[in-house]
Amino acid sequence: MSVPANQTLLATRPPSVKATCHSGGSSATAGPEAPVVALVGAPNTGKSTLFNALTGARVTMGNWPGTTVEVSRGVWRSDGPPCTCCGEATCSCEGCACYSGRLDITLVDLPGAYSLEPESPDEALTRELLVEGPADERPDVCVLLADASRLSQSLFLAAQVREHPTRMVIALTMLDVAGKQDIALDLESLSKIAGVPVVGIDPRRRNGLDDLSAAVREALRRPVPTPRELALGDDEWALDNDRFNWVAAAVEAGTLDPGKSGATRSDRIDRWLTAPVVGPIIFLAVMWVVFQITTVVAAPLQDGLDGLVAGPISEGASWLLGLVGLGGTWVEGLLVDGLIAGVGALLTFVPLMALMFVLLAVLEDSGYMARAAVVTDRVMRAIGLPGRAFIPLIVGYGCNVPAVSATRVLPVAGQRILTALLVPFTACTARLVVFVMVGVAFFGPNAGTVVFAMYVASVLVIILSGLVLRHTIWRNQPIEPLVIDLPPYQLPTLRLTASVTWVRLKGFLQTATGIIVVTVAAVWLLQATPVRGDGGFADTPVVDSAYGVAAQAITPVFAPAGFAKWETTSALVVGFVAKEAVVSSWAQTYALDEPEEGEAGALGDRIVADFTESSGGHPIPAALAFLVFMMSYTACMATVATQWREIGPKWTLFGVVMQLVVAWTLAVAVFQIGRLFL
Amino acid sequence: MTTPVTAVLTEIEAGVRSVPDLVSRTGLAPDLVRAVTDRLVRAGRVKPLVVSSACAPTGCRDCAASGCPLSSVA
Repeated sequence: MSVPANQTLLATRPPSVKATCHSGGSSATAGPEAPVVALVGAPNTGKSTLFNALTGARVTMGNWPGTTVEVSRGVWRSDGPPCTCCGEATCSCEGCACYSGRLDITLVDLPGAYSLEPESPDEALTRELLVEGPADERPDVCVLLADASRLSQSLFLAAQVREHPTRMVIALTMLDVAGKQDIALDLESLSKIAGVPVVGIDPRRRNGLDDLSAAVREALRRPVPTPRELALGDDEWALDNDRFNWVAAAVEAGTLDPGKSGATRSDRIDRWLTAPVVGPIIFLAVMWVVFQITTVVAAPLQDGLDGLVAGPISEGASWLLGLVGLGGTWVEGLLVDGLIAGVGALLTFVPLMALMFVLLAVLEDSGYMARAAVVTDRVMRAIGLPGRAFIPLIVGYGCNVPAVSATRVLPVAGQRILTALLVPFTACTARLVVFVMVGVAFFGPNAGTVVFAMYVASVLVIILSGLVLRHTIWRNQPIEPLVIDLPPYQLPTLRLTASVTWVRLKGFLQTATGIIVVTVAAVWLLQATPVRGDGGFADTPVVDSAYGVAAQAITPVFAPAGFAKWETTSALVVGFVAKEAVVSSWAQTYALDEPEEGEAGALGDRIVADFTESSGGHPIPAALAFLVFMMSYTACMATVATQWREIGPKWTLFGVVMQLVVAWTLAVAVFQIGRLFL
Repeated sequence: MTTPVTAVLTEIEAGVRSVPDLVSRTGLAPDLVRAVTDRLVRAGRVKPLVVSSACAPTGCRDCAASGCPLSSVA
């Protein structure tokens, strides 16, 4: 936020430049009669490099008196043409102001400033010393360093300085960078329009320093210029408009060729990637390719890992337990059919998760994700969400828990609540595991397309839910003015991609493994506890256990959706606690029941068989309905807990009910319509 | 007389989000549009959105890998 010109960020008014530099006693000043020149400019324009080049070792650094701001002062010793009065190399004429011959100047390197409307103590000091205070206490000349490759941004400060009676010389730096962008400048024309001398310098190579010296001497000889005339209107931004008009006129006059700054390669690519119609299509295509690569490439790796877990690892564990007399006991049931099957089922998805994280890291590092933000922003605005809601929603596709926390970046409470209610509709990575498992079981080589369709469906659900909520509960939410930074495209780096992938994969595995171990143990306990029948603890059919009975109680609710089998319902109940445990608990449930003769033992085959039975011969619509339900219903308990903390219990409970209603309604609709055709 | 700041701000408030789109809508030079948006961001009138590449500058809070209370990733 800018500080008005009549206020300051400094605790007290510091002594002026002249008072401090002419106070004597310091070897870093050129004496009380020497002119004082201040270096001014934005950070990273080469001020310190120029200061060092001009002053050498004749410097002192320290806090400006009365402030905590560090300012460098030094002596700029330069040689010029002989004095025109006496002809001497060092002018000795009494009262002569020719500034010829050997001239010592006290040089002050003021703190970097983007504007004379300060936002920090550093900028406040620069303003104070440059343009505030008595005119005879200010620097005699201000050398403003401007970045030639970012001329408009640099000259804004010059426009502000020209509003004050201050001698100024503009020194253009970064000419080599501008040259690489094919920018060609006409310094003479620029100087004419700006009304001040303009020189080109390269402080690192010490080029142009003689020209700078000559320009400063010439400026010293001239009277203090009158401030430039301002053409103000009634607009709130009248003064800034005038400044930028001045900048535009100077840049236009001083630019022979705008080069690539006119349209970089990234800009040319962005014309397509952020176009209103083509942009979203490209975005969807990119996401489809990500899912296709992920599922197709990972599939054989998954099969291999699955065989390893179900084969040598499980058999080895059973053999070891048999050796110690625990074969065939509840211990073997818990360890082999529970923990190994459960954790193993998750580990088979490691190749898929790793691939997905690699591809997303590549998209982020290349700069494409920022373009995706522009494309999705239009849709979000349509549902009344601010552009910054993109961050929590994208994070939600990784995990809903940090996504809900990330809604804190939104400034308005209504926007935070709305976004937090929509986050659970984003299909997190834990749900992806279920999507892929069911997708492969029912759709084989088309699994990638089906998974992609689920993500598209989740976006549609977010949009529709957002529209309904926006037009009912949250009318008249302000839309925040926002600019999305588009970094230049770059080739992703292997090291960064690998690092990000490892962090995310490790996080997922650590989270999921912990959850699964706990959940598998709990599910095993419930499955081992008899509620009816004659079985004892750890010796009862699952259907008669606490687990099975509870699942059977709610199973009829899913009859209209085509997947009313208690084994499926129980997996959904476990998913209500933690989505990571859905596949594991499913595997655990089926592993405890001996496969009936003639039926397949693999999890996918069992699920297909059950869905065929429960749907009355329409397994495909039932599978799609299940996937839609999985996508839409309440996220894990950790997400609910985070929502409780961020948006309060009332909105959290509203969200849980909303998600269950939406999920059930969509699942029933998908099945009832789908079974007419499939 | 043109009003660069007003023109850019009007487009941003109408929903234009990126510098290339602002250049296209206002007809101003890209360098000038960047300077004006910088000015509006400094004045607090417009918020910048930086879509982080890889790790977020705010740290792990916005990372898709972290945040789950059972995760040991910071």
